[in-house]
Amino acid sequence: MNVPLEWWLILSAVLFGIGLIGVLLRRNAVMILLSVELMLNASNLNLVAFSRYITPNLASGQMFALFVMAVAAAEVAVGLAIILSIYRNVRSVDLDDFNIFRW
Amino acid sequence: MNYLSIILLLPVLSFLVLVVFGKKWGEKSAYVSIGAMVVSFALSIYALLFVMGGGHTEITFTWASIGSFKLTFGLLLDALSAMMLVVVTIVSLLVQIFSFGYMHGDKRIGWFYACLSMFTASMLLLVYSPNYVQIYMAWEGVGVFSYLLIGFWFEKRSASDAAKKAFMVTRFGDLGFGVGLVLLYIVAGTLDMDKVFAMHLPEATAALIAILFFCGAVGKSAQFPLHVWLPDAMEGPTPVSALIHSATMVAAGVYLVARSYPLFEMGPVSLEVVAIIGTITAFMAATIALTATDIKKVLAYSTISQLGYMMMGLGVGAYAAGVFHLMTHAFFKPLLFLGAGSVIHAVHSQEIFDMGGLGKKMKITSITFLIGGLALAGIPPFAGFWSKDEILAGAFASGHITIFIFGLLTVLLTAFYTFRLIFIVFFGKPRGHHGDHAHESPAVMSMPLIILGFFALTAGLIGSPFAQNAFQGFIAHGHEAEAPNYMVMGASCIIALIGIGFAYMKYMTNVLPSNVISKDNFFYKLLVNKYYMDEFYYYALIVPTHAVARAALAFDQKVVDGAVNGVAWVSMQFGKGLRHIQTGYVQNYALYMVIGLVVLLIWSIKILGLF
Amino acid sequence: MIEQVIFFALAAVAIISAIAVVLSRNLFHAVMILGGFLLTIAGFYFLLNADFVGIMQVFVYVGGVIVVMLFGIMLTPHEANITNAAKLQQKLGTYIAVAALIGLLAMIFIRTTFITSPAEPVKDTVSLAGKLFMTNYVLPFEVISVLLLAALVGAIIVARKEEH
Repeated sequence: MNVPLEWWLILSAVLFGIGLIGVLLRRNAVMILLSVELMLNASNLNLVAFSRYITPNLASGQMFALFVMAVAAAEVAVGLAIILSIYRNVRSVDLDDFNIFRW
Repeated sequence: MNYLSIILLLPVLSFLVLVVFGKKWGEKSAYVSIGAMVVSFALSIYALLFVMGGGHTEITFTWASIGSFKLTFGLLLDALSAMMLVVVTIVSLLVQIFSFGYMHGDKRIGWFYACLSMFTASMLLLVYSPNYVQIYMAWEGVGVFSYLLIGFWFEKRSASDAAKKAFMVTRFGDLGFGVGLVLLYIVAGTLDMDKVFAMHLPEATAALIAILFFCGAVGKSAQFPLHVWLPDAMEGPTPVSALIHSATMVAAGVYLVARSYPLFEMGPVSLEVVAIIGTITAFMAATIALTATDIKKVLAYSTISQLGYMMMGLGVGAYAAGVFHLMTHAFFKPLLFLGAGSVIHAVHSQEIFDMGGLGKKMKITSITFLIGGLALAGIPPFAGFWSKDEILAGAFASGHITIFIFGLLTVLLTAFYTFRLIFIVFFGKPRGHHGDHAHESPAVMSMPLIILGFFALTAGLIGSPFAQNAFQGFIAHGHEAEAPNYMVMGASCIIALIGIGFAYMKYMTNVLPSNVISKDNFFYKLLVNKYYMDEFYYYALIVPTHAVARAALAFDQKVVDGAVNGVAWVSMQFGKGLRHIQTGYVQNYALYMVIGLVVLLIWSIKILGLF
Repeated sequence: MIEQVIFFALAAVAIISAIAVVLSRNLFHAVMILGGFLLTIAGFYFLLNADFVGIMQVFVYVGGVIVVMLFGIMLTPHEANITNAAKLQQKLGTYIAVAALIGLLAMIFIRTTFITSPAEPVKDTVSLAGKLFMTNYVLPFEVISVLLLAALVGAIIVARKEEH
């Protein structure tokens, strides 16, 4: 307990922000998927930290983290499938080319 | 259901049926329409006999009430309306029978009969009216269906123009009528005739309202200065001219004045106006008729002239005489029009100088036309004489000497132009080859001529001294019939004969030099150009109207459209600016989400009071 | 004391590798660095006495997700240099917004007083997690299993070549 809770939280906020920058700026669809993974892990870290500091004997935050992992695994599978499918249609994984809704 | 409503509803029913089936049934449509009119006519005779036996019916029901104001719809049967019922239905019936021959082969004959039916129904509704609202409605109905009938051959540019002209010119008069109605309602608080007539309105107010009503009559009855539509309306089929321009539509104006006579009497000034306008119309139209060369135009101007007579009669106080002339005219004028229709049918031309010597080829037509002509010219014992003489006697007796003198002059002119027409068309040698194949029209056309000829010959007698002026006594309760003035009778008779004599000398013999009037003569030009009335209206009304319309168009296109387009332009600019938000990049949208999140955080910090 | 050192060391590795992932110009490298990042996160979990989560992190993420990612990369063209073509507005907006977000969150975390519990953390997290999955969280557990199945089937259908 030498590390205060706030540090964990700030660390996870920073990692979350880095992932967010990746999501907002990268043009490659796979890169965006990677950045989303960063964000998910940052939030997972947050959950586990809360679990450890606020309810150390219940471990409910850890359970949440496990569920998030499962969802993340599903997300990666579906996300990659979608990217593959788009790639087959547009011959590109660059978001600039997926602009059919553009004005 | 009352038999009076059946008289009215049968033509309406015929209209509704023919609107649906007229196209399919073609010429069979005529049977529906004529059948309905036969029944209506028979019931009208019954109604007339009922009234002659002293009967009087008034049925009203309320069809709309606005606060205390009730709009009633009614059927009024008295002497005047009973007379008009019979006249309208018989003329309509004969015209419809005649049309069966005349309109033979027309593709839209079903629609033609539908219009004739509804036109008659409108006229009957007008005749029945016990209140001014109903009169006004029927008045407009008559206007609409006359528009459709005059423009029946709308493929012809001149016909559609004439229909528009008729509609708009009469509307011009209707404006006065409408204002008069509003004024009357403000003053009297009711538009029921019997209630209005029982009141004692101030003289000036009554005169003003009466004159406004007369404006409507001026439009409908083609009085000076709104007479210009009637000659143009000759573009319609000839039976339509016979119906509209003799017994029904143009009679509506006279009927309105006759019906509102108590109102006019409340403001005697209005009667003077009526008399003066009537006299001007009668005289002026007669002079124009002298130079007209289109057979229907001559008759059109004679109609205007005769309507002027009726107004003159009403204006000088000879109420019964005016109505009497309306009745006799309703017989001999359709006769002349249908006769002209028969001639046109045979010759395929309307120009009288294309005709000539038709008397031998078309015996029935020429004899009946001659009867009509004699009635129009005012030769005893034909119908027109008695009624016209009554009017002149009335003018003389009431001391309107100027009007009387112009009336006599008009008699001269009338006799002259009528017999000019008859001599040119039916006598002498054929001019050109138009008449080569002329032959008598079929019985369906000549039969109505004979019936009308009979009436033109005899209808006047019921108002003559031989019958103790029975008609006048019947029509004019409370209006004393003028004692027969044999001096006036003799004078008008002699003057008419002089007119015929002149016509005979001019067109049948060479006693008068044929170039007695030069074509360059000022008066001749004036008459040929109808006193330049159309030109006057063109420059006084149409040109300024066009100028105003152009200005309004410019205003609409520049200012109004400009404002609308400006609003659209502003919206579009907003749209153009805002569409940049819709970049189509998912990441851009995600950024907006993050910005939203930041805003929410700032807000939550404020709410939580962390700082 | 030693915990703090480990924390900072791991945090430094995590942040640097995260930035490296985001800025990487090469997809393959990015995925590999992400693997490293995920391992440091697993390290954090062990530091937080969440052994089971940490192990799962290694198994699921490093062992599963990363492998799937590599397959995905191999099936799509991986250009050596991926240009970062974002517009200036987007870049500027992103940096400002993310900085504001991190700043605000940090402010909130610092200002908030968390009620921490001094109780000893559970030692045997594996058996605890097993009990919880079968008792308190049985419904989410079953739902997540259906979700995973659906995701797998869905991924296969979406990624399958359309037959003509």
